Amino acid sequence: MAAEAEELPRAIVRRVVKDKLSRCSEDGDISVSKDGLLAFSESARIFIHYLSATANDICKESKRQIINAEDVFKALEDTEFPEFIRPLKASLEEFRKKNAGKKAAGSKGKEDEARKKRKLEGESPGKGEGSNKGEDADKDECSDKGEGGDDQMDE
Amino acid sequence: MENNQQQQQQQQQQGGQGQGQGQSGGAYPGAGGAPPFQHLLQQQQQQLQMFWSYQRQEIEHVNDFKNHQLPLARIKKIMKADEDVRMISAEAPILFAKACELFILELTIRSWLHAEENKRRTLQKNDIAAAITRTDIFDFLVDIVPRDEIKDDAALVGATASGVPYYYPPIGQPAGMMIGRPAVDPATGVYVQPPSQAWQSVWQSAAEDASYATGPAQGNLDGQSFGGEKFGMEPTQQFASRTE
Repeated sequence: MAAEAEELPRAIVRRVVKDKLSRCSEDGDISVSKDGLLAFSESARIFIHYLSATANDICKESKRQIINAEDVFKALEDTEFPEFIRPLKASLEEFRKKNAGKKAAGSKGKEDEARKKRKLEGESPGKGEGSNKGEDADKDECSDKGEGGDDQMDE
Repeated sequence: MENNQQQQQQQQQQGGQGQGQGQSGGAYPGAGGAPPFQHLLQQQQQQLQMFWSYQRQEIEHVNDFKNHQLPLARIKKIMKADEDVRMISAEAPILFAKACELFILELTIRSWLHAEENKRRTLQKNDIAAAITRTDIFDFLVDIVPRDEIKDDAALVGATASGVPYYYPPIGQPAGMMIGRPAVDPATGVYVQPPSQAWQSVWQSAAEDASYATGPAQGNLDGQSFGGEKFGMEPTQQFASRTE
């Protein structure tokens, strides 16, 4: 049994490509053929594999279990995409700020309770990681696991 | 007094952006003498300039976070398709989403260049293939988007209609036509190219059958399971070099 590989959503890939193309040429539209879009999609997917495999190796070398941001940055260097690092760090900062803001702001009490509950229930190693409960749940879950300081991790 | 207010405004702007640069005389008591004041103004001009050029760069590079381009859950699934990858921090998919986007941008520009060279207004697969061939850091993609030496429409190995990615030859096509027949006229495109399955089987089937590697249409598909070797992924995962 061979499962089909997960694809990136085509609409989003198309949007990214077309946005860029519209900036590349001021006069008129550049379009993308269907097989061209597919090529972009697949290439991006393989890029994810390539980068995660590299980051994974780096993570293991440090004798850790969880791939973190630093591993990814190092992986970008190793794969020769160092120019991505700066914008990615900026993105990360944004994300961390927003997260900190969210946590500080609303539903703190509820969140704390929920978190305590999860901690009590789900401290079994690596259990929660596999499930794709959805982005928010995932975020909180992951960030509370073993490597507690993940969100605040410095570079 | 007026100047003082200006200073404070500017500093607030900068402070608000988390720049931390507006430290110059935050508690500046009064306008004082001309020299220190001018110096201060100059400094802040500089800081403003830096601030705005930083902002411009960020606008270029950093998307509004709400516009989450690529879905994190999907990215996570893709990452975990590699059995070797176990646990991922919450931040990792976010980084990957962004990295992916940047990657697509890079690939787009280079592909577009190729289309321009050929005076086309439509990006095609071979433009992307060309971009990959030309760019060293895209070497990891070399088997994914095969470079057709002959014509674009010609040789793409077809997948089965059922979309089972690892199986070749496609249903309905006599195997004899494809296997080990370099004499097959590439220009006529013996192989049918079905819409999306093509991609999943391109490198797989090429890897499968050595005979294809020798045909002119397959000239660049060396049939190696680059996925398995390079990344240490399970070959059976995605880049099958053997059937399941």
